[in-house]
Amino acid sequence: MILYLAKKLTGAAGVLLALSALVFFAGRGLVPGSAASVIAGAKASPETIAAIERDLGLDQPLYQQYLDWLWGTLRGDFGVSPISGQENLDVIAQQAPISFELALIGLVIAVAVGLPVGVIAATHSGKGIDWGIRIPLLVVFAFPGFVSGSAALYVAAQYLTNMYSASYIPFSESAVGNLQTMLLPALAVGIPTAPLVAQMTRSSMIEVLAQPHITTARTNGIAEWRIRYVYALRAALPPVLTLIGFIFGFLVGGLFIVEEIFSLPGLGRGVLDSISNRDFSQLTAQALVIAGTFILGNLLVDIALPFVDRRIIHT
Amino acid sequence: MTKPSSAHPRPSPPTAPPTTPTPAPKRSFRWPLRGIVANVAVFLILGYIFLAAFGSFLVPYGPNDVSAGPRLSSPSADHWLGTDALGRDQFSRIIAAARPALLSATYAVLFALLIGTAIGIAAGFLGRLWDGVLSRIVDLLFAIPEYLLAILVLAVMGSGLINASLAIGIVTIPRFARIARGSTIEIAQRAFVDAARLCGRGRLWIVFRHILPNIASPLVIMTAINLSTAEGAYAALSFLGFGVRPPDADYGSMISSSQQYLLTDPWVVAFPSIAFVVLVLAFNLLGDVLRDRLDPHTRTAAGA
Repeated sequence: MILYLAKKLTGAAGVLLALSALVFFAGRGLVPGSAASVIAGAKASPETIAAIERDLGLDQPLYQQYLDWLWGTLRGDFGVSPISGQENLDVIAQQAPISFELALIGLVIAVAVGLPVGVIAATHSGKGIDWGIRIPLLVVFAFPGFVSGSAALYVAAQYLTNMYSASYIPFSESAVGNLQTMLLPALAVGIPTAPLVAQMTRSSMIEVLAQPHITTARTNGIAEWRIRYVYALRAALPPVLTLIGFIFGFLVGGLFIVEEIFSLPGLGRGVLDSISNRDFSQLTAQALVIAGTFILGNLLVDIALPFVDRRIIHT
Repeated sequence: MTKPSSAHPRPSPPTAPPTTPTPAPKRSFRWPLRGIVANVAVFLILGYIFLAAFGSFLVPYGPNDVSAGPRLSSPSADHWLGTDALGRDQFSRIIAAARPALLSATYAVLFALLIGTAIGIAAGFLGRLWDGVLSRIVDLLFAIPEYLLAILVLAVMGSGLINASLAIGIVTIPRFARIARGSTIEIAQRAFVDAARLCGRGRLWIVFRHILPNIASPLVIMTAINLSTAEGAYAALSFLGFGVRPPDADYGSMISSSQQYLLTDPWVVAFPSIAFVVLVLAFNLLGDVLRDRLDPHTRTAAGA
C-alpha cells in the first residue's frame, strides 16, 4: 500500500515538474521577441527596454529565469505581473474558487445523473429501456458547452427570471445568491458530461455482470437487487472512478466556454484575458494552477482506488 | 455477429476503447456499416462533405456579404434562416462553415493518427528505453487538461484554421499513442511475429506486414470517435476566437458573435448551433456503430 502510494506521489510530482517547465516556456512563447518591449510600449527607447529587462531579470538566460521562477513558485511566491501590476497569487485567489466550485458542482451533477442511468442501462442491456436511455445520451453528448450554455441561458432569462441572477455573486456575500448564479453554469457543464459517466458505468457493469462470481452469487440464491447494486456495482466502480478524475480535467476545459457565456470571473476567463493582454507572468501562474488541480484530482482518485478494489495495489 | 438491425448507439467517451484479442492476420475486411443508424450517419456526413466541397456554388448570397439583407431579420423567403447582426445571410454562412469544420477535424485527427501511431508502435515494439522515454512524454501530454494545452499552443502559435487543427492534433496524440502501444505489445508477443523474426525479416517489415494490419481495427475506432471530439474541440476553440479569421464563417464564431442577441433574436444562435450539433451527432453515431462492429470486446459484452 505504502509502495503504491509512494509510486503515485512521485509520479505526480514528476509530472508536475515537467509541466511547470512546459507552462513556463509556453508563457514566454506568448510574447514574440521581448516581453519588455510590450511593457514599455511601442515608442519606448532601447535604453528603457533594456532597463525593464534588467529589472525583471529578462536579460538572464532562459533556463536561469526558469529556475528562479520555479524556486519562487515552490516557496509560494507566484510573483507580480509586470503587465497588470497585480500579485498573481491575489488574482488566482479570486478566480480559482469560482472555477473549482463550478467544476465540483458540475462533477456532482454529472455523476448523480450518469451513474444511475448507466446502472439502469446495464441491468436492462439490449432491451427497450437500454435503447431509450442510450439514444438520448448520444444526443446530449453532441451538445458542446457553448450550445448547452446558450440554451440554458435563454431558458433562464426567459422563464426563470426570479431564480437566476446574471451577475456573479460571491459566496461570502450571499450563499443562496451564489448558488443561484452557479446552478445554471454548473448544469451547462455537468449535463453534457453525464453521458461519459453513464457510458463507462454501463460497459463496466455489463462486463462485471457476465463474470462467473455473479453467476455463483445467483446460484447461491442471493437477492437480485443485492447482486446488482452491491456486488456488481462495487466491482464496476474502479474504471468509473478513474474516469471521474479524467472528467475533472474535461470540466476544467469546459469552463473556458461556460465562464465566457455566463460572464463568470473564473480561471478559464482569466487565462483568455491573460492571453489577450499578453500577460505571460499571470498566464503561467493560472495555467500551472489549472494543470496542477487536474493532476491533484487524478492523484486523489489513484489514492481512493485501492479502497474500492484491493487488487489494484498489486498491479 | 449481431444482426444489422441491432446497431447499438452509445455516447462516445474520449477514453480508449479496450484493446482486443486481435483476429488472425489476413482476415478479410468486412464493410462494417449496415443498419439504419449507420446509414443515417453516413448520409448526414456525406451531405456535409458535399456542402463543404460545393457549397460555394449553392449559396444564395456571399457568406461574408455584409449587406445581403436587413440586420437580424427573421427567417423569410429571401433569407431562409434569417440574417445576422451585420445583415449577412445565415443560410449561406452555415453552408460556408461546413468546410472549416470538416477540414479542421480531418487535419487534426490525421495528424494525431500518424504521429500517435508512430509513437505508440515505436514504444510498444522497441520496448526498453524507447518505451520508457516515449511513454513518459505521452503521459505528460495526457496529464494536462486538453483545452488548456490547446489554448496554450494557440497562444504561442497564433489562431487560424491550420494552427487550431494542429493544436487539437497535439492534444489528441496521446490517445492514439496509448492504443497503438497497447495493441502493439499484444501483437509483438504472438508466434507469427517470432516466426517472421526467425526468418530474418527486418523490424520495419514486421511493423508494416504484421503489426499495422493487426492494430488497424482499434485505430479505426479511435479515428471515428476522435473525429467527433475534434469537431467539438474546433468549434469550442473557434467560439473562443482561435478559429478562422473573421469575417469567414465558422460555427463556433457564429455562435459567439451572436451570443449578445440570444435573448432578443434566439435564431441567430439557434441555427448555427443546430447545424453544428447535427454534424457532431453524425460523427458520434458513426464512431459508435464502428466500435460496436469492429470491437469484438464490446460485441460480446453487449450480447451478454
